[in-house]
Formats: sequence, C-alpha cells, structure tokens
Amino acid sequence: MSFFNQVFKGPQLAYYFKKISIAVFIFIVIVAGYFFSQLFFDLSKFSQFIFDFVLQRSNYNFAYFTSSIIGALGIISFVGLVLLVGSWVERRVIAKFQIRVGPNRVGPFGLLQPIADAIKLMQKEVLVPAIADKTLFLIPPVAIFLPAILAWGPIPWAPNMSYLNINVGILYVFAVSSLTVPIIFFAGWSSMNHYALLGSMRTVAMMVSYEIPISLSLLSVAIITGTLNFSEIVLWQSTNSIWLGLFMPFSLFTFFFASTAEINRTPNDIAEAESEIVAGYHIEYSGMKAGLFMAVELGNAVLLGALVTSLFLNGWFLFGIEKFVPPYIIFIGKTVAIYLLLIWLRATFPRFRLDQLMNFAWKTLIPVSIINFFVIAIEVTILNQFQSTGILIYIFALFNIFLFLGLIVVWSKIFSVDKFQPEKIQPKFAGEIGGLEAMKGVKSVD
Amino acid sequence: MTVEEQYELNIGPQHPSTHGVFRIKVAMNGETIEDLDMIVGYLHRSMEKLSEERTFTQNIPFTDRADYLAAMSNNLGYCLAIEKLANVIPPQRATVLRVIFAELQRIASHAMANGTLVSDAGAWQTPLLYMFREREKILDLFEMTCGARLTTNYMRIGGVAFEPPDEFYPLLNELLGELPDKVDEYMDLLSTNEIFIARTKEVGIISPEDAINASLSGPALRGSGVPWDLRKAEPYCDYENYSFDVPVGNTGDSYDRFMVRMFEVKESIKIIKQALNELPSGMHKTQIPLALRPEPGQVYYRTEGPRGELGYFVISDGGPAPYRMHIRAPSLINLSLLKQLAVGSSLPDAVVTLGSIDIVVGEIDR
Amino acid sequence: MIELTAYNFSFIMMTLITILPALGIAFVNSLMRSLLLLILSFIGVAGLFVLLSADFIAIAQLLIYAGSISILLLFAVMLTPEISINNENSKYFLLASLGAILFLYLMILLITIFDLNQLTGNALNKLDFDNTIEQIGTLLLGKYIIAFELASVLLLFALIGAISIVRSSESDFDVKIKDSK
Repeated sequence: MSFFNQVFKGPQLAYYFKKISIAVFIFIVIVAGYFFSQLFFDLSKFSQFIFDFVLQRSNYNFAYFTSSIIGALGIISFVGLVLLVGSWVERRVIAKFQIRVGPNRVGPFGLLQPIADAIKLMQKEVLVPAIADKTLFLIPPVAIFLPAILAWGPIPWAPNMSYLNINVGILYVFAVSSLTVPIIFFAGWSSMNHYALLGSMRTVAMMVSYEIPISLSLLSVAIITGTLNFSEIVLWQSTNSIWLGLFMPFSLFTFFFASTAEINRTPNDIAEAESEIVAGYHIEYSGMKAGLFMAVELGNAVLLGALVTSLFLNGWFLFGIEKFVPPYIIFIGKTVAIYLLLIWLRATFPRFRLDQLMNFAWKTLIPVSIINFFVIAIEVTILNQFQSTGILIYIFALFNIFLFLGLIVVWSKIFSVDKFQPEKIQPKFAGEIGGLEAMKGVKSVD
Repeated sequence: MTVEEQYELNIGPQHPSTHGVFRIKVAMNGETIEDLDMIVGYLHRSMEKLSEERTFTQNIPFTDRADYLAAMSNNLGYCLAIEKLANVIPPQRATVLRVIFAELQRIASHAMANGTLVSDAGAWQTPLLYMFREREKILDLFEMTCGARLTTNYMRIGGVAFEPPDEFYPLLNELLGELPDKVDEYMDLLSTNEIFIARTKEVGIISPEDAINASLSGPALRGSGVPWDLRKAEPYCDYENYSFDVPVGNTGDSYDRFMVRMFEVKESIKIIKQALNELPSGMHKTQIPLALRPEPGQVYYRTEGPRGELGYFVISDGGPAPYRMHIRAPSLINLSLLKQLAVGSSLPDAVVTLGSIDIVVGEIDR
Repeated sequence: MIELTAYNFSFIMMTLITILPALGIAFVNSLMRSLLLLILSFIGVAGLFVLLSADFIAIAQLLIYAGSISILLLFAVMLTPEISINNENSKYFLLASLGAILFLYLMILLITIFDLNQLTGNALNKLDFDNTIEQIGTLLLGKYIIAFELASVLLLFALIGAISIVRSSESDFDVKIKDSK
C-alpha cells in the first residue's frame, strides 16, 4: 500500500500517467500502422481496380489512358510532396549540424515553412533583364521540371509498382537527365550576365566530363545483371542475395560522386558556387523562377537517392522486413537515408575547384572506372560458367573491396598526395624575432 | 581562335565573398584573371578628419568603428598612443586587464577570419557557425563588462572604463578551459580535410621577400615564415613578461595563414591564463583631465592587432583635439598584394586568397 | 482518309512536334532559339521511334542527339558570338529555296513509290520479338561486328585528331597570354 501511495501521489501521478499514455499511444500507432500497412501493402490492387472500373464502362484504350494519367499524377504528386517536405528536412537537418534551430515558426515544428516560402516567392516580381533574350529566358525554369519529373518514371517502388517498367530503364533515366544540360545552358546564356554564363559553362563542362564515369558504372551494373530494367536489377540482387553496392563498391562510389557533380551538390556545386559566382546560371532569376530551379535541385537530390537505392542497395528488400512492412516504405526509407547523406556532405565539406574536379574526373575516375569495369567483366564471365553463383560471388565481392582500396592507394601514390600530409605542413615556432635573418631560427612545433 | 578576348566582371560591391562593400573589377579570360582593379571607398566615413573636431577621449568610439571586428585592439592602440603623447601612465591592473581583453578580441577576430575563409572555400557555413559559437561567448563577456558586444569603447586614456563584474571571472575560466579542445576540434575538422587542403595549399603564395617589401604584417606576414610580432619585437603593455610563442608558416600560402591564426588562438589562451594569474589589485584607471591637452608634439605608436601592425599617428598642437590623426590600417596594406597574387590565377583561388588575407572594409576605408 | 485511332493521333502529334520546330529552325533569326527548336525536333523524332516500338533507338536518339549533339552545337554557336543573336537573311535565299523544293519533290516521289505499310508500325506485327535491345546487341556483336569495330576505330581517329588540333592551338594560347603581359 505504501508503494502505491508513493507512486500515485500528487504530481508523480500525472508523471506516470503521461508515461503510460505515451506507451499506449505508441502501441496503438504500431498496431494501427500494421493493419493499415496490410491494407495498403500492395498498391497495385488499387490501380487494377481503377483500370477494371473504367474498362467496364468504356473501351480498352480509354481505360489504359485513364489509369496511366492517374499513375502519372501519383508520381507528380509524390515529387511535389518530396519538394515540400524535402526543403523543410534539408533546412532543419542542416540547422542541427550548424548548432542552430532552423525554421520553427510556421506551423508545428515549422512544417508549413515551405508553403510560406512558396507563397512569398510567388508574390515576388519576376524581373527580366532588359538585354536578356526574353523567350529563352522564360522557358528554362519551366522546362527544367520536365526531365526532373520524367526521370522518376522507371523507379521501382515495390514489386508491382513501377510506372514505366521498360527494358531500357537505365538508359531512359540517363537520356532524360542529359536533357537538363541544354536547359541550364539556355538559362545561363539568355540571362546575358557574366556570372550566369560562367555558371552555365561550368555546368556543361562538368556534365560532359562526369557522364563518362556515370555511364561506366552503370555499364558494370548492366553486364552483371544482364538487364537494363530497374525491377529486374532489384530482383537480381535479391536472388543472388548480395547488394550490388557491396559487390562493386567502386561503381557505387563513382556513381554517387559523379552524380553529385551532375546535380550540383556539395562538394561539387561549382556551377552555382555562392562564394565565387554568386548563384551561377540562375543569378538573374527572381521570385518563383529562382524557386523552381532550387526545387528541381532538391528533387534531383532525392532522385539520386532513389537511383542509388534501386541500383546498388537492393531496392525494396531489407533482410526479410519487406514481408511485414510495405516494400515502398522500405524503398522510400533507403532513399531518404541517401538524401540525408547528401545533406551531411553539404553541411560538412568545402567545395572543389573547377580544374580539380575535371582532373579528378579525367585522371582518376575514368581510368579507375575502366579498370574496375574490366575486372567486373572478367568476374561476370567466370560467374556465367556456373549454374548458381553461390559462395563465389562473395569471394568476388571481397576481392572488389580490396581492389577498391588498392586502387585508392596506387592513385594516391601516382599523384603523390602525401606531399600534403597535415603533419608536414603545420606551422612552426619562431626562435627569435626579426626579418629574413631570423627566419633561420625557426624550429618545428614539438 | 578568339582566345585573347577579355571580359569584365564586377566582384562586389555586393558579393558574398568580398567581406563588406568592397569592389574588385576583374578582367577575365575564361576562368583566368588577367587584370584586376581594386576599388575602395564605399564605406568611407571620414573618421580621421572628424577626429580633428573632437577631444582625445571623444575619439575613442571612432576607433571601434575602424576595425569593427577588433574594437578592443583598436581602442588599445589609440589609448597607448595618446598616453605616450600626454605622458599618462595607466595603473598596473589596467594594463593586465587591457592584455586580457585585447587577447580575447584577437581570438574572436581570428575565429571570424578563419570561419569566413572556410566559407569562401565553399563550406556551407558550418565551420563559420562553429567558430561563431566561441566568438559569441567572448562577445558575451565583453557585453557584461562594458555593455557593448561589437563597438566596445572600453579602453580609456589612462586605464579601462569599467571593472569587470564578479561573474566575469568564472565564465572566463570556463571558456579558457574548453577553448583548447574546441580549437583542436576545428583542426580535426578543417586542417586535415583533403578538400580544404586542396583548395588552400599553394594558393596565393607570398614569398618572405615580397611580404617584407609590401610591408605586410600580422598573420599575412607570419604565414610567409617571417618571425615578426610587435608583442615580442617592441613589447607594449608588459608583453615581455608573458611567455608565448610566435607561430610562422612554411610557404606563405593561404593554408599557412589559416594555420598561423589557429595557432595564435592557442598562444592567446596561454597569455590570458598568465594574465589572470598575476592580475594585481588596485585602481582600473587613473584620473585624467576631462579635456586632455597634451604638449605640442607628435607620436606614432604601433601595436600588434589581429590583422597586423596597427599604428596610430597623432599630432597635438596643445589643444583639446588632435591636430591630425592617421590610422595605419593593416587591412589596407595587406590588401595591396592582392593584384600580384590574383592575376594569372582563377576566380575561386582569388576568392580564397582574399579570404586568407582577412580584410575588414571598415578599416580600409575608415 | 486516315482513321483517327490512338496510334494515328499520337503519330500526328509527334510529326507536328518534329516538323513545326524544324520549320522554325529555318525561319528564326536567333541561332540560340533555333538550337532550342532543334532539340524539340529531336525529341519529336524520339517520339516517332517510340511509336515504331523501337525503344532503344528512341532512347539513343534522346541521349545522343537531344542531349549530346546539341551541346556540341551550343559550343559551335558560342564560338560565333557576332551572328548568334541577329542572324540576317542569307544571300543564298533563292538557291536554298530551290533546293528545298527539289527535296520536297524527291520526298513525294519516294512516298508515292514505296508501300508505306512496309515502313510504319504495321511491319512490326510480323516480327517475333518484343525486346529490341537483345536483338540489337546480338546483331552488333555478331553479324555486323566488323562494321561495329570499324566505327569504333573511326571514332578513335576522330578523338586523336581533335586532341591534336586542340594541342596545336594551345601553344598559340600560351604565346598570347605572354604578349598581353
């Protein structure tokens, strides 16, 4: 009885009540979430239902047209949601990195901040420079959305959830994203501003260089899986029970690094380097037009997460959890993890210089990618001799990891990176004070 | 091929990496800078002329606004110059307090300089805000002592304006306890970062001969390897009683200037600890006449500010106001080498070089 | 004349996307604008390939023509800054229009001579595969391997030639930099 009095007394009662109610709430959320996820486990049921519903009342062509429009709307609304939530996430997470609070005024936890931003941007005047080519100036902010949304098409969310389940999936994404280059160039050129032109020339130079390592790493993926279809690549990884990112870490690194260069993320954001060319190719855009460019950049970052997830991180599979949790939730979770990695990089690293990036692409990434590609081609030839890949694929994975590390060591020797070891370039302490004569008395720091 | 075609680019007066309203007119060929013209004067407030109309004491707030990131050091330089002119001897406690505040200001100023340098190199403000964390604590200490954070107006002719409050010392000791760890944290984060080394190493190299010929001073000179520090060479405020080292760089590039600042923060911590240990009791300022009238004459007094040799040249004609005052601003003289450093390099390198020289536009234009 | 099925409707749309910008390229004065129209026209051609169920060729069209050749042309236009904005009418206007009329006549001849059903999507119904990539890959590395390899050798020569041209002009560049100092 005394224990009871001790526990449930005065303010302590409220304290324990709060604890218990939080536990009960979490339990209810988990149980409800489980049943809810079972209901929405396979979203293809719904699209099938819509298709059948229209088919009963109309012909096949119209039903196909309607369901494809609805699917496209689903993807567009998902991208829109990503843009809204993503900008909030990016600002909040970077604020945490930078010991700040971040947006916390509009709505709970500042969640409505992106909407407030959008309203404010839309109210602003769209300034067009007097000497700009007005037609060309106004097209790019809108046109740049096209590749950014089209590239989401073949992403495999779940077993039966892929809007464009085409055989040329990888090529399609690669081709569509290459359309951004002329659009960005037109944006920079039509502004008639030297900063904008510098930014767009940097973009073009970088994209031309970095498309080669990207294509080499995608080629490695294609030869080992024997397909260009995203869903089949994901399924290959689960049937051989290995993540491609583990099997060929260098291809993953190349793809990730080169893609950050293509989508202008730190440490490769030289096309809009704030401290050098202010904003790069979109310096002259104001209001929502500038907002559109930024939104597309954010959307591309999340798209990179989705591509890395499906190509290298086994898509919707996660150690059997996909049997209980809807697969698309796992897929989105992995995508968000990659996106958070991008934010981490942005909050941490300084920026490369243009010539350093070019040197890295042409002198390091491309030769090493070719070596990596040949090694993987040989491994694929050996693997094809056997009925089941079995333990051999793990041996090759281990070999590839050591190859990756070995190539790093060899390349750092070639370019004598250790010349700049931090221990060798520390300052020294002066022995005596004076001019050039006294410089001889300088001794190293103990 | 039309490779000789140049175009003109205006960096500033509004540009993220000119550190204020400072304009550089650049003739570029592609990404290479071929010619460069520095245009200053956007922040000119006619400080030196205005000071001829005000008494010697009234001029102290002007020195706050000259180098607004190192107000304490500017106050100190001016007050020492006038004290030498008027033969005022400050009490011992005031001298030690001056050393404490000047070195705190040096830490705050170096934190700002290095943070903005890393921002110029492209880090998205994270190192800057980390450095601001410690600067903020120092500014809080300033605020509780003299009521202002940036434009402190704390030193007086013949002492300091106020005695620090009682809660000042525990907070200062706490700060001194954690600062070395924080400096090591920045070293881990930045000075061993491959990208940062690639961006700053061998960028904007100043040879020792060039540095001396251009009359550079401060970290810009010591980064080139020349061991010159006025606190050792011509000690003022009894700096000869403190034991500290003078860090110098190896090659004179932007990285060395950055690292010299980092090491100077460590040395400043040492100096403040020694000063706190031997803080004498007594008055914090001597009584001087309200309208100080020094004997006719002139004085040039130089101190080691955070950016280099901060000199005050004052002429008195026996009246209550200086006949002429001139500030030898280290930023302006350090900046004079920018053209030589930037021509032939690329735009990003020029930005990093400018950041590593560490200018304050208020001091350049005055 | 033409039955308006979904297929034919898409075909007409894609043809319009191809032809209208192509006309614009000829009549617009600004080279940059005509470049934008050219990219649009390339996209229309890619759409036509999709209608022919040639998915690989469609993607290659997008990737190589709309994405890469256009960049090459961008650089070409950038090297001619004087004429890129206000491009005056050519003095060969008459000659060019004569050539255009002759070409149109040739096309009409070709269309009337050949059986169009051999060339449109109807021909695909007779084929017994649905994955063009595998077929293209097998043919390129099997039957047409010599042509494929010869093409790659040709590209290699082009690459080396381009590098040698750039290197010879690089020395000019150095001299001019020194002169300007």
